Amino acid sequence: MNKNIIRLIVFTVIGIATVFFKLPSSFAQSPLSLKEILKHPQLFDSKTVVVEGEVIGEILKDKGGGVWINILDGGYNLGVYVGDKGLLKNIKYFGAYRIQGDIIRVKGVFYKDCPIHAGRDIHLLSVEVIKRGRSLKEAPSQFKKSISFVLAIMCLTLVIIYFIRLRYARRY
Amino acid sequence: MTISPDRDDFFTIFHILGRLIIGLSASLLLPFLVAIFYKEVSPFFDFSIAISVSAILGVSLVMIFPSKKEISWVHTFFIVSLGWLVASLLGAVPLFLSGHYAGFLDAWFEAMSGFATTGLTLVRDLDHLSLSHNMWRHLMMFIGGQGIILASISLLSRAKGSVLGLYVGEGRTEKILPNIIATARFIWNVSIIYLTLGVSFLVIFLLYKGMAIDRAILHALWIFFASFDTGGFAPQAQNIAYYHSLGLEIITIILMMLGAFNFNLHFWVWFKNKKEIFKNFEAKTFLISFFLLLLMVFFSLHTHPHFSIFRKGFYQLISAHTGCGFTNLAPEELKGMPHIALLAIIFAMMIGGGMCSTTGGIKLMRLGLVFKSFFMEIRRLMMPFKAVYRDSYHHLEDKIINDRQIKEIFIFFSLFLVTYLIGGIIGMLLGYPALASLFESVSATANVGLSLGITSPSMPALLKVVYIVQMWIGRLEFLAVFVMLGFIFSLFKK
Repeated sequence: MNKNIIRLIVFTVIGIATVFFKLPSSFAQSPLSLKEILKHPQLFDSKTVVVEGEVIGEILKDKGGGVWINILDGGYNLGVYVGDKGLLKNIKYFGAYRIQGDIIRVKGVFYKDCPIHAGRDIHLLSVEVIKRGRSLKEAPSQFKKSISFVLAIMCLTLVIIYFIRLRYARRY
Repeated sequence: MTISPDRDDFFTIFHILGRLIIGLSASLLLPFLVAIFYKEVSPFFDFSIAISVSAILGVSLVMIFPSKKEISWVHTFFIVSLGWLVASLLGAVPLFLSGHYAGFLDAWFEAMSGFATTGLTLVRDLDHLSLSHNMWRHLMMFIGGQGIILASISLLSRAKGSVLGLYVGEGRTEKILPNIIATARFIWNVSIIYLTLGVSFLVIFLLYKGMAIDRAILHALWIFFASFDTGGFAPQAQNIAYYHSLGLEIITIILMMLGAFNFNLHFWVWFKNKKEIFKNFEAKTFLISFFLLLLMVFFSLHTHPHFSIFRKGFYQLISAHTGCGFTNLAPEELKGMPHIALLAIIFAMMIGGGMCSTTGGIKLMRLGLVFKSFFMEIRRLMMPFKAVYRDSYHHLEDKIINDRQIKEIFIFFSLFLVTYLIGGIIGMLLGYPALASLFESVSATANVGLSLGITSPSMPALLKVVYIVQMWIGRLEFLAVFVMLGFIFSLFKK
């Protein structure tokens, strides 16, 4: 057999083996989607993962001394436990109505059944804000405003007619 | 010979419906005020449109159809059945306008789920929903849990003996006080007292968790509405898991249990006999059924740590049994639970809570009496042919079980089982797995709200309609809807 073909096969096998055995630690290199983690939690249990998502709501205290934040990514949510609240000092915007929360990259250990909190969560190791959130402006359509105005006038007119009729009926 | 409604009857029905719609329009003022307070511009217009549409429809009905008769038994079934349909359709208007729903059908589904205190949701991006829309979602649960019609009964001074039909039509078969209006007002008073206490506790707790005062008050109010009225909506997409708090889960367990127990039992424990809770037939049935189902859950989760069993198993089971539907698990986690645990949750959802409570499902009293009548029958067969045998149970007082009661109970029992099955079969025909289809069907009919993920904006429109109908007839316990259909049928027969 040609030496080059043998070399190619050997390198291919070594390459596949490297990727295969290195897979768990590679979770920590590139961001995973929350969907991927939550759909296959057993693959990532107790492993260091990197995820990205919008911070929503607020920081909530934990009775153990740490705090919680919740992140949203592609319609999937997950809680992130933070032992040191100081790590979150760069987060300014929390997603809510009219607020696009900061998009953060979280590196932490994912637990399918957290031994401390008895739930599915990530224990934070490091966090960075990768996209700053912002306040959003509301822009109701002109059509909605016009309909609202017309209906309000109709409603008021009808209510006035109703009360006049009621008064008239009571008198006579 | 059956009664058939005439033109004057329909005038009275539409007149009362008009009044109910005006009441609904008034209740929309609360989220409207929230929109004003928080300067939520777009929701301001959404609620303005919804209030105007409801008021125009309500006042028009009252003016066009003057009431020509006193409310009678015939009218009550139409008023209750149509009242819930119209309320959910009008309640869907501001939700649809919010842009968080795929279409009007989804918004209607949400409104019916709210009024029926189910808790299944089709909202998209809940975490960015306005405070005023969230207020409306949860307020619907409070209004529906108390009973849309019951709310009106307490205000209808003209209605007298005939309001019994309205009360029964909403799935409540027990009076607490001799007078129905007094009963309705008592239920309101109890709820207001629990509301004050529950919200106060929750506010303190959420402040301790680090929430801002205004958010703490709103979240406390919404959690109370959803737990005491055994609804199950939550202001955040993660439901109760958002708060990451065992303490909050315990508070919600207490509130959902208070809501799931018979209001009559509340009355007796408060004013007559505190020991009633230990002797009560429904309370005993609850204890037995809950612990048997808990054994199933513990057995299936025995490899998990104890704390995990509590948060995963106990919480979902109590939430299912009380018909609340709160969950601290993501749909994937719930779906990943062992099948035995899921079966236990399905059984718990099927049963529900007390007779005169905010829950749906077969109800504890009926389940207990089904088993009691089964053992009665065995004993009867073991006795001499001519022997007369009667059994009794204790619910506020000792009561003898009679044949008519057993017949009624078996009718309701069968109706619930058939509806659970029909919904499950339709889910399967649409391509969903058997267990998940049954789970979702039971959750909709028994007004629970736990989901294995079938309920989503992408599910087929047919299934959305099926679940809307299941939530509607399940909440009204079939009677009002079927009698209304019977009256409509009698019109064609004439």
